Amino acid sequence: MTEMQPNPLNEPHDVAVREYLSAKLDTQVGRAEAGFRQFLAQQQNRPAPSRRHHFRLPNRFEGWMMGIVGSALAASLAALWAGPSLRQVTPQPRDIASPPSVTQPIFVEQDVQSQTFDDGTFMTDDNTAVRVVRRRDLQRTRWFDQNKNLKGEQVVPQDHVVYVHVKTY
Amino acid sequence: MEATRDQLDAGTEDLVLRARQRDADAFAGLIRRYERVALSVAFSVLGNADAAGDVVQDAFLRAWERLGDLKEPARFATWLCGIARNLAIDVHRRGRHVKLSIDAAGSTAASLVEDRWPTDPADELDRREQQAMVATALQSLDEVTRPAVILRYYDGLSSKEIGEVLGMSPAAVDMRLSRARQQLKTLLAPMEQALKS
Repeated sequence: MTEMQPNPLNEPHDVAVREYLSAKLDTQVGRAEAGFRQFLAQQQNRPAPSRRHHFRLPNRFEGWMMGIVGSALAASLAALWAGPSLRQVTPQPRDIASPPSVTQPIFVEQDVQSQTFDDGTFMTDDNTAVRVVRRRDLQRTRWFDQNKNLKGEQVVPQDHVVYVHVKTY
Repeated sequence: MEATRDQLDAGTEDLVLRARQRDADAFAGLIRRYERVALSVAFSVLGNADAAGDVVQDAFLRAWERLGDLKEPARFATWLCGIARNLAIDVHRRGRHVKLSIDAAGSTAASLVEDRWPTDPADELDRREQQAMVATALQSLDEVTRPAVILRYYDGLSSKEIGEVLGMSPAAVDMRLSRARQQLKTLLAPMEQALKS
């Protein structure tokens, strides 16, 4: 692209900015390739689309076609709605041990949000100065069960308190 | 010996042409080469690393699907960054990202894998305060200068390369970087003084 080299950025504020960006963004490097590979794997697992003939009806039949499709759809919905009440259901013994025909994975996502608070300094009974640092974590777990079409979320708050001995002179 | 940017770009054209033939490994090569640049652009809009990572993933998938639309294969980076920037702006408008202040406090999912107390808690607190200060300083830059600064500091791009990605002349990039550096120096001066003391 070019032979021009950027000026060295070595002053303390330059270093601080560079370190900040590395700390934030280096954790994200590699995600895009992993996502791409996952996307390809999903594409490969999907059944190949069947070849369809695209044809167009003459304009004068389009209205009729819409009407027929609409009526068929309405009839199907009515049958689905009324079906259970019209059909006599005979209870069948159920094999509990048999697995469902198609098992979909359960997606689980977990993240932790943390904040650290400085709760100040205090003196203990033996006149020792102590600084109190409190870290609050919110661990959130979300999952989605495709088989049961269920979503769930659990949030677990946790507080960690650390006492740091402060040197007094 | 490290490859120069010119050599890399020559390779880019070849990778794009192969990726157009649905060569996934060639496209993975493009991802490895330009992920940091795209992250810089997305992060400059969103100010949140996790959200930027999501956007970059989407941007590469869109690029893979629309590679046929790219007229000049050598300009893949510019084209990709355009996609990433538009997606990031879209996410930002919908408010689907965590606010900057939260990220600045260091509460990313990455902290999950860190040690719970990797260093002295007081040092950790200082580090987070510094990060918050740098985040605020970056946020104070205007929307054109911020991506230029991040591309320079994070990815080490030259002014010409930044100009190509952002659609600016190298001189304009230099001017913006120079001003931004002064601004950052002023804003981060208290931090430097604290470090010295």
